[in-house]
Amino acid sequence: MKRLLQDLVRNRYLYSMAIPGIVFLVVFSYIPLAGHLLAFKNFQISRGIWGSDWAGLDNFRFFFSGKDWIHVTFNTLYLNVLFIIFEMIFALFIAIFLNEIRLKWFKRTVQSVVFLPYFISWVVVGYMTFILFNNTDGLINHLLKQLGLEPFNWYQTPWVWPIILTLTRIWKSAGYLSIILLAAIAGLSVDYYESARLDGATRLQQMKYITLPLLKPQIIILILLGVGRIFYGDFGMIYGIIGDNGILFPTTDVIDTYSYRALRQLGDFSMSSAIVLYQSVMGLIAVVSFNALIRKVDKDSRLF
Amino acid sequence: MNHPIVPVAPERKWRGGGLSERAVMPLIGLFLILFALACLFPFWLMVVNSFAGTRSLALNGYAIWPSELTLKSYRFLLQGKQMFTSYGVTATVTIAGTVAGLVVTALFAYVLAHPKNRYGGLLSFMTYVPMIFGSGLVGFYLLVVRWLHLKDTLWALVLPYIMNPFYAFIFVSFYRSLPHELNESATVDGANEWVIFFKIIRPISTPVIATIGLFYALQYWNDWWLSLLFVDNSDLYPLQLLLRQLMSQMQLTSLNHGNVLTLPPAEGVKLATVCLTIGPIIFVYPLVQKYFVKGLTLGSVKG
Amino acid sequence: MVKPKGLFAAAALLVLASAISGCAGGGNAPEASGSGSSTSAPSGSASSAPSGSASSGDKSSLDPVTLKVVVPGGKGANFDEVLAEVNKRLKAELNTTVEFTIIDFADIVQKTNVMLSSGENVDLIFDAPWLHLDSMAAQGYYEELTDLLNKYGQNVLKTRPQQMWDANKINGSIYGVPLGAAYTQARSIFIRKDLREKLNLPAVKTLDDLKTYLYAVRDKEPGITPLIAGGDDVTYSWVNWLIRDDTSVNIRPTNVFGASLMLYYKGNDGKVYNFFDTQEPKIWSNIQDVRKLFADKVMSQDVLTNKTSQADMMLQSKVAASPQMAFGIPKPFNDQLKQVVPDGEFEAVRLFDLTPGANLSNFKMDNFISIVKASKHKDRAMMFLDWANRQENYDLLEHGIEGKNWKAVGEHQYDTLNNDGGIVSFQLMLNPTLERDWVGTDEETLKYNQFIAKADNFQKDILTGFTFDPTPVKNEVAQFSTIQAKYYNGLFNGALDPDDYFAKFKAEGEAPLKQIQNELQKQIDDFLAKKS
Repeated sequence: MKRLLQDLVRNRYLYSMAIPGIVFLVVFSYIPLAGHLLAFKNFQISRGIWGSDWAGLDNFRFFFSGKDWIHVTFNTLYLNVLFIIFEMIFALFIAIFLNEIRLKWFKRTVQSVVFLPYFISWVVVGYMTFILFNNTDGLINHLLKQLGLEPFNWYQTPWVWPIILTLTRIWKSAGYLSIILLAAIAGLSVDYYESARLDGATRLQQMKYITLPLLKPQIIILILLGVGRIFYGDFGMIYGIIGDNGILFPTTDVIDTYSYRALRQLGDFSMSSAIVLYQSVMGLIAVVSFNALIRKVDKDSRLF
Repeated sequence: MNHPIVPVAPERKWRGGGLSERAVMPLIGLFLILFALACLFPFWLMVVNSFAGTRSLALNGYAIWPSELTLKSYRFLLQGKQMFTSYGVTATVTIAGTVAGLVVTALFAYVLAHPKNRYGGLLSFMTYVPMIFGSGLVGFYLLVVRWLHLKDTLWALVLPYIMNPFYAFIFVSFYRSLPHELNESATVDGANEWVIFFKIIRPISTPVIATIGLFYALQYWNDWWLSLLFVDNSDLYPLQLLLRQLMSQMQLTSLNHGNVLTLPPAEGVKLATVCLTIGPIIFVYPLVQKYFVKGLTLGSVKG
Repeated sequence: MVKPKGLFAAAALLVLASAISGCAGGGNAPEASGSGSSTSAPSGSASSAPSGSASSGDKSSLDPVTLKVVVPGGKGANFDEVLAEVNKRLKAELNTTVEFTIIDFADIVQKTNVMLSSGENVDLIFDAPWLHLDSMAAQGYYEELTDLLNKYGQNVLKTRPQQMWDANKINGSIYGVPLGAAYTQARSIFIRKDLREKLNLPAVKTLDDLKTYLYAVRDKEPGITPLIAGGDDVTYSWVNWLIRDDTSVNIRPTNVFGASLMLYYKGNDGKVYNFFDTQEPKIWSNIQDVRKLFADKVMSQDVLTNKTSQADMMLQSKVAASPQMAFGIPKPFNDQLKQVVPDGEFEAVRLFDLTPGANLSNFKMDNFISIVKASKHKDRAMMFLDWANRQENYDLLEHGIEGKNWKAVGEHQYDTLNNDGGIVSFQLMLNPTLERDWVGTDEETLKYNQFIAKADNFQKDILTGFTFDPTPVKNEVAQFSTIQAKYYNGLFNGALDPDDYFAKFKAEGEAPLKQIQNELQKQIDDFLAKKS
């Protein structure tokens, strides 16, 4: 205790900078966490959170006693892994490549344009994918017919959708992520490139051996941040694009959409809290494990 | 601020890489152009069809160029004083929130990333946990309305988002890539952390400040959740909430057995709504871009 | 950065209610039993009307009161004007003014939960079985209305038949005034009159006529899909739509899963039937039928994935037939079609049986207006409702200013003068007696509309007044909901082959459905026993 106080005093200027952040964190992020208690209670509006009866693990039963929970958990995980990996790859391509462009107007234009999909809501995206892939007058089938090929029944074929969904995520998020990377690149010292160029390194080598490694802190933190949410499916996207089309559920149904359908009729908040708690706890375990792994490999890149 | 990350072994000899120098640039250019087109095309469809007339939307859906153009959708949305008030509310909230958010988060993240901080790991962990668990809605509402008495105030629209863990960690990753020598030389000169931060760190953090500033601005600009929960007074309606209201109003009018021919096309109004929201942001972004300036030199540290 | 989505958001605000009331020492939640807190009892408080005044009594001695009314909907362009007139009349007569808080439909669940649980100052509030009427009433948020109705609500009582009052009680008490003008939903299939005439087909009167039309469209009009149904809403699935009008069997959903027919009622015997067990011939043959329609490319191949509403698909001339919840074509509908297809015209194919007594109804209404127990002006609230249930005020609220927004045509009809309507209808005072029909409605449609507005045209469902409590089987309901979501819409719209998929559906869903069936039957048996 005394050590702690001594340390605080000695570095008071440093620690005092964190005070506003801590205040906001505690007030707006920690206090509301109390709501998660509901996962273990039988919620009655008039009694409040604290007054409602304890329900033990009852609220988890509907989810875990079926057979589907393994399947939807798996879907959630593998889809999120695909998204994290490919979004990062494309974001890196965009950022690193853009960095090499000398033509200012081209660079600025592309930078702005790739950011645009971020603003388009998933509902609109769902509508656009429908225009592309539907059976009646879909653009893709139209194109296939023009090329003399057989039209394809997209919306009745489960296995293509993880691919389509990943492509959509890349399209929507890579631009946004690339901004973070571009900002990081902008902060890199030119000295590294100078010396490399003097030694005869090509553009490609510079990208690969200087820029890319120097982005390691950003890459790792972004991935780690994604890992913490890895048990949360992207409800907006999947519901917006797949909707209630049961045929595609085997490959695209995630925990969030599954429990939405289960509880739609009942509107039971304790039960949906239970699912969120499950997703949170599993996410926590995932990120702590991942962080421990990173620690072993490269101490400086860890999250905590 | 850790030791500088040395990317390559110092004695590495640069041998000619696989692809010739000449081929690289065109390929890069091609990739970027294709990706940009893929992003631009749907956006173009949205913008141009927000000006489309009913007939065009019905017959051609999202056409590349509508057969019929009209300003009806925009006129419908931009009528009345309410729109100005709402733009004002949103602008105020965005500016206030962005500035406050940047200050709080940049400082906080600096502490997280600082090597002198012994509790950095713990603090980082505590910062990250709420991101995984999400904010419990109940406690949140109670807090803002009952305990802080912020219902129907602008504070309720600004305060909850000020400290954002995701953005804090982006700051952290940036600070970690800065060489520690910067700090050390200043400390030797007798400066405390506040001085170091504002005189040394901040000026070279421009790219990341610009980025996170943009993100905060977006978050506040697009938000309708906070106002839905906490604002009943229509004078404090931000843009998004107002637009939602206008959409329902339009559906309502079309149900009356009146003359629907004067109504703007529903699909067009939806798109115009999106455009009105995105509009200002698109104009702001290029201005922000000029802060992504390259070039931190270590010259200031040597000697 | 973390935003709750979908259901979580919707249901989530239920919780704040609790936290607020719970954390504030439980002071806000009224007791479920008992006659209400003393401060708002009619006879004692100074701010309400003197207890002696009957609805026709002397009102000049009333204190000024402003009532706060919370309803869903949207604010029309002439809202302020109509409200000013409303308040003018109210002030003159009852020394009262009203303040409407209009909440968007998308937000109604959340906002009303918040308001009620935080003890906000609300006098009248909208609620519904599909919202949270039963649970709010059970927790004591609403005033029991029998006394108030008798004292101040004669007009409210008069304009609704006894069947409606009886059928809409909750456990024998009246917790909300039922709002509705019909005892079943209007329904038909909209088709394109111009196409039918072009194909030289006579008027469509039966299902077979309809099929002739659909196949003809498929063969002769390649640019337009013959039929589409609701792939995402069970109510609008093709099989559901056809079964509704078949009065020879009177198969009806039990409403455990909305309009799903997996558990259904047949006739009026109070028994719960399980489709897995019975494979009810009528339903099964319809499923086979619609499968053929799909395979023959008469039913849209995108029925499950379509993102545009059926109405819009018709307006864009992309489909030639779809189920719609109306007996006739609203004028705006035809007008909008003409913008796209100048010669286009719709007509309605009605398969509804007009024989009195052939259709069953449980007289349950979909909308209610309740008086909040914590309100300080309960008497006045009921007086306001009474005022609203008089023809001239009813018209003002629903249609706007007479002579400016609308004009009366006879006693039961109206015509619009400009596009701006009134401010509320189904949210506050809708009833079958005072409701006006639009003058442009054709004779046929009018006939049907008026038929379903008369309670006596319907045979009383034996289960009138029954509400199912899903709590004992909530896990099974949740599980079955997910299983059903995989198969139902596909099977009942023809997109999935029943020979293949029904067996799969049955294998997965049999067990939980059986449990739900048993529980439902048990509750029904208890209910029927108590009645007799």
